[in-house]
Amino acid sequence: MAVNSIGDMAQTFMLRRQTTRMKQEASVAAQELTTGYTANVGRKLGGDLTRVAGLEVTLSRLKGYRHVTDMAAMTSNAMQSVLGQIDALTENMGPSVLNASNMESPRILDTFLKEGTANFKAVLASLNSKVGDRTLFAGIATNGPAVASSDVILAALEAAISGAGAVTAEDMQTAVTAWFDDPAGFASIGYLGGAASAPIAVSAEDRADLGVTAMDPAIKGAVKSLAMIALADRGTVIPNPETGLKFTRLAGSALMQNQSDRTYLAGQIGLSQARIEQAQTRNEAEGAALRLARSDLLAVDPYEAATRMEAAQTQLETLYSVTARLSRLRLVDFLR
Amino acid sequence: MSISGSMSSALSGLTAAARSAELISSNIANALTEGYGRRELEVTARRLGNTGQGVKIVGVSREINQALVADRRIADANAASTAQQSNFFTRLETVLGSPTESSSLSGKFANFDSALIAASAEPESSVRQSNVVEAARGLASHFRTASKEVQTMREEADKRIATQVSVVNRALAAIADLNQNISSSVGAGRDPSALLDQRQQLIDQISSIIPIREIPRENGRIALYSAGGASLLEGKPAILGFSAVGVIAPDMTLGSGALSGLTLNGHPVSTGATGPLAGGALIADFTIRDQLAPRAQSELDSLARDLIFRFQDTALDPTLTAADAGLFTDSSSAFLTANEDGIAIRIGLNTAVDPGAAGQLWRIRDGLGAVTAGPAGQSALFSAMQSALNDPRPIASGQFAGDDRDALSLSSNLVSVVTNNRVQLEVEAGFSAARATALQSLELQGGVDTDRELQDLLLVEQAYAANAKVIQTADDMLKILLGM
Repeated sequence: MAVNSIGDMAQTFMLRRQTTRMKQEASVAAQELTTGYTANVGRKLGGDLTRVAGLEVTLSRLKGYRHVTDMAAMTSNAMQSVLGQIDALTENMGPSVLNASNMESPRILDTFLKEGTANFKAVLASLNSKVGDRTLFAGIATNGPAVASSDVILAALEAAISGAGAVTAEDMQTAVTAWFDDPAGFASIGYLGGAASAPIAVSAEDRADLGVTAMDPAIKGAVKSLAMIALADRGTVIPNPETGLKFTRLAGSALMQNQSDRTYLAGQIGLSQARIEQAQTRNEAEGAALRLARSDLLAVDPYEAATRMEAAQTQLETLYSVTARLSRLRLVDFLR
Repeated sequence: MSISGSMSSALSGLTAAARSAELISSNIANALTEGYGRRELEVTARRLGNTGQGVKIVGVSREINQALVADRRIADANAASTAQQSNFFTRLETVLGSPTESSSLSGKFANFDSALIAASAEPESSVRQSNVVEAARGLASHFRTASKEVQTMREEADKRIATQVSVVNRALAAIADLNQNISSSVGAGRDPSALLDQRQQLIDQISSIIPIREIPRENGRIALYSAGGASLLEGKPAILGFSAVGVIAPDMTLGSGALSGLTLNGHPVSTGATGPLAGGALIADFTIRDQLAPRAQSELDSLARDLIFRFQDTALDPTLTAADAGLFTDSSSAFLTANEDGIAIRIGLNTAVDPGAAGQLWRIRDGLGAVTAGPAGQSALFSAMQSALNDPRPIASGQFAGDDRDALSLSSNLVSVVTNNRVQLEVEAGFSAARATALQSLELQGGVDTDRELQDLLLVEQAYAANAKVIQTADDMLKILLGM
């Protein structure tokens, strides 16, 4: 067909189609300009979303690990400070008791024994300390106390000593040690917590071991020595002052020997603290890198989007004025 | 040559001009009518003996480019078909969600994963436990929503098929009637243009449903065949048969007989992509109902099955027995491999951990079968669940069957495959829409141009005035003769 005319509808159709297309382009450009990300993720990535999905999964996992590291950092710091408290409570106790027991001045010794009993109670209280809802040294039974009260422990110890028929200081110490090592002794009467908690995953690879409980030999040793001093103070199982003096001396030297165990334990927790902090830093760095990679994948250049929007706007305006012109170009308007 | 001869010639000119003006007015009136073919008066010189004697109206021609119309119809069908399928994948992609959003299916997987990590550090916190339970619930409900959407799309396709079949049947019957009218019009020498317009509009109605080829027959009749070669109208119209179902469950298929196939004059006809009626919106809807949607459903089922089995494991949770349901259930009972079909629509959260359904939150920490709460700080189950989710395991069914994958990468791969299909079909749909638009634009260019009609009208006006002048002059000449 020789084109000597163009149907009216062809023009309208063309104008309408162009207008729609321009408007779509402008709205896509506007969306990309305001969000900074592509409006059609599938097309920008050529239909392969596995990479970006992997990034999102890891980012969301890192968010989970942030809760974990925050919590683990808090727990390990609290553990350190409890160990510090126990240290402060026992540090001078050993030498003082030893000195006092050598001076043979019952009054001074008595003062130190009283202080020892108070410190024994204080150590038990700090072992029961909580962070938030969690008892620190109770293993997996975080909702209850870690150790029983001093009265319960001392009563059980007295029963154990008289049960063993111990009358010399050495025999008494052996009975006390046996009670602390007996699964039916301290482990079931004194310690109220559960098994050590499992290491916590602080990143995809790292585990931080915060499974220190009141059953740890270093802590148990301090509790044992202080309990001996408290027993000497109560005096119910002490047959005579000489035995009491000797028993106190044994407790004092045990307390001093125990010091290094506690330092070692603090060191262990310090290692976990360092590991948690490293994991925190590494997780943050990984998150930042992944966010950067995600924006590399999805971000659109704002200048490019702005230019597209500007172009679409200009074209739309041109199209409107062309539409206005064309609609005035009607032969019927000129036939008078 | 005589004066009366001149008068007669001029009179024929007047008639032709009047008839032309009538057609021009009809053209202008129909300038915006789709499927209207521009009319033009066909005239020739009238001859009496060996001499010319005025103008003769031969007839009315309807200007239409049949080849262009035929091309446009095929392009329309193709565009409708790809648009329908691209629409399916767009909706599927929307309901699965873009992995960049946390509300997507893979986002819900990631959310569940990070809730488990956070809970493993604070197992005693009921907030963390509740986060895990809610994340699991969100995951299960996303599966159900997505599956329902897939089944809804099947139902919609089924309804559309029924509508399209009735449109085609009605149009074919009407076209057969018009065929009769046109042939008697042509036989009686009347102008059939208006009937042709109507017939073209009717064919256009069905051309996007089934790609149509129009074959001219005697006396202006036509026969219609589908592009695949099925006879739709040859004298008598064909009748398509289909019955819609209403509610479609995942296990209802064409093969099981629960869904209707298509019949042509009572004989079953293939609804596959290579069948005789393929290429238009009708078969695209069959493809969605019988192939694309069931495939999407079975992929969701395979993902749901994998998820359920990761948690329905006595090694993971020793408080379970082999017959117990895990964290995720099949309509609140244990899932069996044999019931994989439609599991994604039935997947639910075990009520043992749902405080809203007489369950206990702490069971997510202590085991679903636990009778009493265990130690508050026990994190073993959370850690085990988190590694169960991230453990690469062989996939038993679906397109990734045989691969070793973890649940999160499986879900993001599934979304990725859907997006990839959508992007490809979008490009294809863009091409076919552009082609259909271009052809439609060309066809519309051949339509009524009011400027041209007005120019013609000016000519007609002049011709009319000239013929009238001729009559007046001849009249004057006759008067001179009579006055002598």
